[in-house]
Amino acid sequence: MKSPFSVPAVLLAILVLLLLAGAMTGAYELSTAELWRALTGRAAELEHFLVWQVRIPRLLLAVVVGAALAVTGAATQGLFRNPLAEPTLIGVTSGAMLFAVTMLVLNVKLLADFPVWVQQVSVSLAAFIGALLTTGLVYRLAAGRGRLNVTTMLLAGIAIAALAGAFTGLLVYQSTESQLRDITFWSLGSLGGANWTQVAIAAPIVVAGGFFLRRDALALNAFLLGEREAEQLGFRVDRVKKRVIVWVALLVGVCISLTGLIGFVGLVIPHLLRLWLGTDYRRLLLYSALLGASFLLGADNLARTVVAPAELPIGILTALVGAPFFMWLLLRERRKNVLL
Amino acid sequence: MIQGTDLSWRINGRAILDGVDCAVHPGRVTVVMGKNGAGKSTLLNRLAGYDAGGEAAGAVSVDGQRLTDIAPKELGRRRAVLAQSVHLSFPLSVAEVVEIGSYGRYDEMTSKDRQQRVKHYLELLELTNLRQRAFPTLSGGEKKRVLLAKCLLQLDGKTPGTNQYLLLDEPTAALDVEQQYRFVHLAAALARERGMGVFAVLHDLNLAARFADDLIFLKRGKLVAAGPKASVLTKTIIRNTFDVDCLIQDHPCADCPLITTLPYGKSNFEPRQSRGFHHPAPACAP
Repeated sequence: MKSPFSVPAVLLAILVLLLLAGAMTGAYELSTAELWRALTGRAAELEHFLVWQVRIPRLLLAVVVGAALAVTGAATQGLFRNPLAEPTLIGVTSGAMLFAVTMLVLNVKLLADFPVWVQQVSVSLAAFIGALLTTGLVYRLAAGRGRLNVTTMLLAGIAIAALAGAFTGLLVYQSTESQLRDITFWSLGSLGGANWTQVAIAAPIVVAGGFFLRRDALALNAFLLGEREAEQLGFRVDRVKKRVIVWVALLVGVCISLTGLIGFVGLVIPHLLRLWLGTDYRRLLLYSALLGASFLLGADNLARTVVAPAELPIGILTALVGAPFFMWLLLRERRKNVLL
Repeated sequence: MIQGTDLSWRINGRAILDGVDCAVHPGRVTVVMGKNGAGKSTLLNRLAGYDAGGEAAGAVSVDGQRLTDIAPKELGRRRAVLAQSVHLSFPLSVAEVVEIGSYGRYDEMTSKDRQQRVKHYLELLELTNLRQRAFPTLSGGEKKRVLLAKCLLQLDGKTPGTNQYLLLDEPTAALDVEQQYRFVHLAAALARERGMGVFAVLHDLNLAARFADDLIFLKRGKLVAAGPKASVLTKTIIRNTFDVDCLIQDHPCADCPLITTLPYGKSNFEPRQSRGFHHPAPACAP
């Protein structure tokens, strides 16, 4: 069973290769030599700008967002003790969507005289606030008498998501043609507008979140045996739950607000790794971060190249890969249940 | 000693446990018995310090210290609870499940130490061959042994000046006759050899009669009787607890009583002629 290469080394190598491929491909192809010149500052202005201001921030944003989505997916599945759990379930996504759509529809009236970047930032900010507010609401609904019931939280998440979905629907119904197009693109996600500011906002939060979630890896392992088991071992179960939920909401909130909705990364990556390497959270979180980053990077490379010079929304690609995998997972679960 | 004083637990006004006093002594096996729904597992949960919601009253102390004053991590080193059943949300291997027992002292051990202790307890419970198996694929008896190994690893390091306790919630449920016997025998040996206080919920009167030092009888959340086996294992107390009559004899080949429950509706035992169901002279293995 022992492989000559360590798993993180393999995952890191994949990530580096995808980074290089991503830097070279796109609407404007670069050769290895050209890339090297641009990286070392000896290229023409156009190529220098392309590499440093367009490609690299975009690649880094893909890495950060992919890692964040996969890590939060793994953590949510552990917390809810449910293989089908995703950050979506605690209300993050639906809240972000509702607030972002509200902003997209209101922008014309409220911020029409402001520059475009203000309008864009307002959508991001609204999505972020929406993500945190709905998660907070779902949490309050589920935390009766100071104790958080994760099953109730799951159900509350579904109820709130349906409600937010209904309001979103109302807004969509009211929107104009061009707003509808904005809304559709937002809900399919894109790394298109990536810049250094976005990377600078997302990276520290995601790194901090990853670090703190990793510190709860032992508790998440104990959770595999049940909350009682974790409690009797000496973990402060309620604090662990609260910490995990706060970090998941922050990480996913910040990612969604910058890139729109990107589905299935959080579901697919942790499961793939579990099948391959087992469930131990001490490893799973790190590996999820590496593979999630690679997955989103690969998807984004495809999104930029398959219909170049245009771009596919990345959510389409992650869903194209993610959904069949999800179905396969359901079938596999069903087969297992029949056997038990 | 784990001491419970006037323990009650109500949910929606209904008393599941009602003013129960009890004690678990180090080095002894305490068995709690009662009908289904008598409050046995609830009593165990209270002694374990679980916060189960509901209205809880009464106090639990561990070696003279209030349970609620003991930090969760320290409590995890003083007592381990063997759950009635465990459902893994994602499959772990046997060795990984056992290793979770070491998490209370994670920072104090090197990874090598930890693996070595895991190996030790796998050997002790004859699980070495199963170490790579996925936990959900094990049989009921094997799962129980894996969970016991986890509990023993949890109690591996003892804080000086404290006692350790093992709380077993129906450890013999779903085990075959031989496994039941072996499991309780092992728990009793842990009490004798390591001075652990063992508290177990059991349903089998004869297993209790054989291995318990102290017995607690519960009925509808109330204490029927508690004390050393010799003083509480009587026909009256068994009738009051289970609404079943029984015959208590000397065990033909062990130093303990042998209890035969009587068919329903019979309130006294009339010896009848042998119909050849058993050998004339019981053959007793050591």
